[in-house]
Amino acid sequence: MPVKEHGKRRVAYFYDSNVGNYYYGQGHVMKPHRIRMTHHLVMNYGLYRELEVYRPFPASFDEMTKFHSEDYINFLKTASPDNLKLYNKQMLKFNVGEDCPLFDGLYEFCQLSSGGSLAAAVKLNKQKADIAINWMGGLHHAKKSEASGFCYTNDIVLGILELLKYHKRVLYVDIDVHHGDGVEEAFFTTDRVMTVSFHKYGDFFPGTGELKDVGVGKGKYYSLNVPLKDGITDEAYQSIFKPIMTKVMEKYQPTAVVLQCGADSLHGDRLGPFNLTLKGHGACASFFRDYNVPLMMLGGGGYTPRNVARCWAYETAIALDREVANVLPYNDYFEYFGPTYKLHLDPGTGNNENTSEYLRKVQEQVLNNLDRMEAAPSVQMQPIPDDAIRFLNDTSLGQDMANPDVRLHRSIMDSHVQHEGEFYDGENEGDDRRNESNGREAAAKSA
Amino acid sequence: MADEEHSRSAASDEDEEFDVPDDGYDDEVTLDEEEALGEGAAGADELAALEEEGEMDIEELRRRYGYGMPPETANGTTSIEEVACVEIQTEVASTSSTLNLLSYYEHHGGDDEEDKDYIPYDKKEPRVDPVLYQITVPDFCTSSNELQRDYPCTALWISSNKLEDAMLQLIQEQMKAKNPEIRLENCSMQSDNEDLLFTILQVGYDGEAALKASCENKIQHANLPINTWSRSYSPDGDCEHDVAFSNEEKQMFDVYYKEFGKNFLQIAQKFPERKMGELVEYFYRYFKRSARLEKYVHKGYIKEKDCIDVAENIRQQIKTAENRKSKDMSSLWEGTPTKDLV
Repeated sequence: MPVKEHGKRRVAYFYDSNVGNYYYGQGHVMKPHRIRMTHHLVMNYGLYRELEVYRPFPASFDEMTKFHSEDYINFLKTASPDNLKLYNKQMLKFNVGEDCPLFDGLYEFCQLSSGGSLAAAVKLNKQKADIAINWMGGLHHAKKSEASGFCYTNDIVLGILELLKYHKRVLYVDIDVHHGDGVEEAFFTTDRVMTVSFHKYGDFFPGTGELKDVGVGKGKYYSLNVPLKDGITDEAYQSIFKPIMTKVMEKYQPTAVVLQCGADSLHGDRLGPFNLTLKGHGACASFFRDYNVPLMMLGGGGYTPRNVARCWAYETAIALDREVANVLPYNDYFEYFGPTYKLHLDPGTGNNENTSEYLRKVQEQVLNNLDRMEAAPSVQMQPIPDDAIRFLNDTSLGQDMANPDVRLHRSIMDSHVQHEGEFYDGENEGDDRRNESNGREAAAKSA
Repeated sequence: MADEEHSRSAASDEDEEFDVPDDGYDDEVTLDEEEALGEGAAGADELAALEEEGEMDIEELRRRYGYGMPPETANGTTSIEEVACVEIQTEVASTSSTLNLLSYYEHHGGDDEEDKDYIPYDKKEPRVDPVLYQITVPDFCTSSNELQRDYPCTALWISSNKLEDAMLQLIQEQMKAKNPEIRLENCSMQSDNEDLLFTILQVGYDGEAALKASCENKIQHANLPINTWSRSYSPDGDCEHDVAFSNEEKQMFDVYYKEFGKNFLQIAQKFPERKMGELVEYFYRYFKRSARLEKYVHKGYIKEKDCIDVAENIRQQIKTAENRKSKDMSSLWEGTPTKDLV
């Protein structure tokens, strides 16, 4: 049930400025530069000051092989444009070379996007943020040992795996214009992750995502696909998104949600034929913000960079529940946003091929499948282990035991975010209450 | 029909692993079609011709069907059509160059008929194999949870109620005023500067200290790109940063940019000591900005000294230009990269 807005959400935002410098090749539609444009809009809208901004470390080889096969990641690590002749066979095997070119710094690019999603997942797990944003991630086509659709490593799967350590059920929602095939495939046989994808289907990449594909085995009915046709508008999209997602939230009761915000479902995208504006796209983000569940927002597709930047900056504002002016602030890439220099897009005039009859039918079938799904599948429960063991590695214990006469290191002090309801003026007012309250907090959390 | 055969034999000839005589299925289809038309004899001729073609050299084949030499652009660059076309061909076991060529001919060779029959994306069934595709998700159990360590991140800015918004704004403004370089970077009033906020965070949200740091030119760079593929990434942030472009390099870049446009692959060849990422960074962060600012300054939209709100300035200019319906607009945006960047 949607929870009424109460108070701010802590929003963690992950960005590494290297990401804009990777270059798929001349004429390639995927331009990582769009993430830098987004970042500049976020700064110049004054949203940055309300975020918690982190630069994540690149993901390591071991972290990426939690999902991907070792020989695939090894290949990504060692192959480069200079030595690709040595890797002809592997390039075919791993589908690298055509729409997924082998470019300079490819492995680092994968490390950054995966690192961002891993960091976001850990931040949510530790309950240090309510919403975690990584516009560098969302590369949903990548398979276990195969690149696909401009995606090489699947940061979403890695992030979800991290979330599963602390969450019983994770919901993955994909509003990219393309089917979220990589994530669906990875979790096709489990009920611990439910995947829901809204996408164009029929004569369109990647060719999967039919209505009847609902998962197999234990995961049967835990994959939902909502195939749509060209030119869908804001109203039509929401008319099918809201009822389906409301029912999913009710029935599945996820303890964490991952939203892939691919911006190629916007009007005017170079590859996507949908007709959404920022408002219709952003409505999906605010839908999940209204539920008080830990939310991870990821990037994804989006091949008209100026609209991608608009969309993701707007959705950052939605996460913060901030109104932003329609007039774009001046920024480093201001001239990209001509001729309107406005934030919002005008809806396209294209024909909406999704008749209300068609949408009704699709919705009916999806809801039918949902009915067959077991509600909130129970997962094996174990007694909560002894606190003492868990405290061994917990830094908060060290802080509690620390000599109160010695100032803690700045990095520790900075990580203390005072709760808004806190009455004290200073950190050390009176006696050493700060440390006391920390001790209680840590104990309560671990309980 | 000839077109169809052409593309098939072209594919088989260039790919050594592809065995022509084994390709019985398609031949049968062809035969059936012929027989249905009641031209059995002609069909036999056709078969013979086919076999001949199968043994022919690829270049000879091309000549026969009116194709010249493949343009050089067919390799190395990727147009959208090619990307789109290639995406569906992933199942075709063939070398990448063959793929590239095929897709090129299908779209540029003038074979309209072939394009019509061409189905861009086949429906695909979901693949299920616990070893190859799926991941085994263990049941949830709290006891097996290793205690999670924090994922290593550098905190660049943490919003805090220790500093009120207005105060933060004021400090940022004052810091900007003391750093003309930064002032030019973020011209809008409400904008945040990540370096300034990082400095404020470093001094524990102490406005005085932050101002002092900015006076002493101690602003730290928050999120400088580190070329991870050339230099090691150090957790303490003490990493080597980009070496700034020398004037000589800047001039070189000017020249090559005029020559190659945004083809960084070619530009990179002229800068053997620079990584691709450094060039892209230079282009987007410095080259384009300075060029643009110069243009704005030149046209009188910005007075360099009091650059308070450039955006507003430009908007005003656009408005007056629109009102006059003059050609100023087109001249203003002429040559800006908006078009080729999409």
